[in-house]
Amino acid sequence: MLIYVLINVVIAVIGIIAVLYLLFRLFAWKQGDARFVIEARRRNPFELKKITQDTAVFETNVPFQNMGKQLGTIMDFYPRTLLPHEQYDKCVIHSQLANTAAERDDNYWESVIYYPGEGGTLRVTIALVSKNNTIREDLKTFPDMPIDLVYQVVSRSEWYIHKARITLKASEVQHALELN
Amino acid sequence: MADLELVPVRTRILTDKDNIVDVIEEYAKHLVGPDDLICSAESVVAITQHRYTRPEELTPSWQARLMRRFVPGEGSMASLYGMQAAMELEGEWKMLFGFIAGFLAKLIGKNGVWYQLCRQASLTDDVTGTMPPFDKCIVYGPADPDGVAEKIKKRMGCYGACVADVNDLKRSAVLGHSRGLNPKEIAKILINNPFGNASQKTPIVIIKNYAQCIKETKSTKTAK
Repeated sequence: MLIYVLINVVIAVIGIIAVLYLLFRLFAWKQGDARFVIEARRRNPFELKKITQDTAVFETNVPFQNMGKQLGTIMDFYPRTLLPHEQYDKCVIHSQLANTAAERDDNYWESVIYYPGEGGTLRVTIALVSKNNTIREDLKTFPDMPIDLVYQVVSRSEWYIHKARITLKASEVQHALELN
Repeated sequence: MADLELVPVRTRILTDKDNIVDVIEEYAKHLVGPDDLICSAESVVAITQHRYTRPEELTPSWQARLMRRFVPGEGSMASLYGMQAAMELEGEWKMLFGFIAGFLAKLIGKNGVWYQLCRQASLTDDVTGTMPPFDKCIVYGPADPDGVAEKIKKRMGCYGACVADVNDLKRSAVLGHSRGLNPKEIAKILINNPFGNASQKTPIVIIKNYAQCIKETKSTKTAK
């Protein structure tokens, strides 16, 4: 008899734990989390900010927003240019990313908390340095160059690293050169 | 009658390679007199003691995953890693039972019990809580703040020293102090955050003429 009572107690305890766990999962799902969206399609066209004999500097602004339900922190943000020398080897490429709300020139991203619905703007700067000191000539054959914007987020959930992609297009480079 | 004067002292960025007592001597020796009180920001004391970690170094426990969901979003404990960091020092089970006790106490109208039982829950600053390059770190509360304050006082030959936790939201607390000081009184003086925000790099504040003002206040009270 006692054994049946014990079994019933164990089953009841397991059942209560299972129900509490399900309720918790439901609560967590309803509570949600931060969700950052990098609005790569809404970026400005790249502008030529400076040109010298050997260097051309292009710049664009990219908006982003926390579309989630919770506060989220962007701990780090950096650009990664993807142009292998097999494809193009006339320039050395330097990239920099800054938060326009907290300008700095050291390529350091200072961690920022964003409330739900809040966002900001990234400034991506690409400097192309000619290996032969002939930047205008070299840029005539510049191809489309993908740039990954890599960011690390931490919020209620575990930290993660995501990427968004923009492209410095050959047509944008040519157009900017024509204007200057 | 002597006036209290709060003098923030600018320093370089301090790291775990620094000793806070040496730093105070280096930057503030010429400014401090025998009647003065030296206050040091708690997060900077903690950094010089290497009391910080990074989210990447932590493995969240199930207790942290559970509890962070019930903390309001603005607090350091709402973050999975802020909560886990505090648990690393306090212990997962202590934090869990403290949390349950705090919840029960709240039902009868008593707030802040969890933070009283688990000091690291209130002292730990999540990422963004400190200036670069520590903005990507979770900074704990300082170890032995009373001892640190005593060492500062002894080295500087001043009236007293304290380690304080002050922010721009008009929250001020003295975590540790040298003997004979009244922490509540000092917290009131620091309420407007003379340490400034992180980027101002002023982790030391000297309260000039503190001893004289205390004496004068006491003698006024006695006369009444």
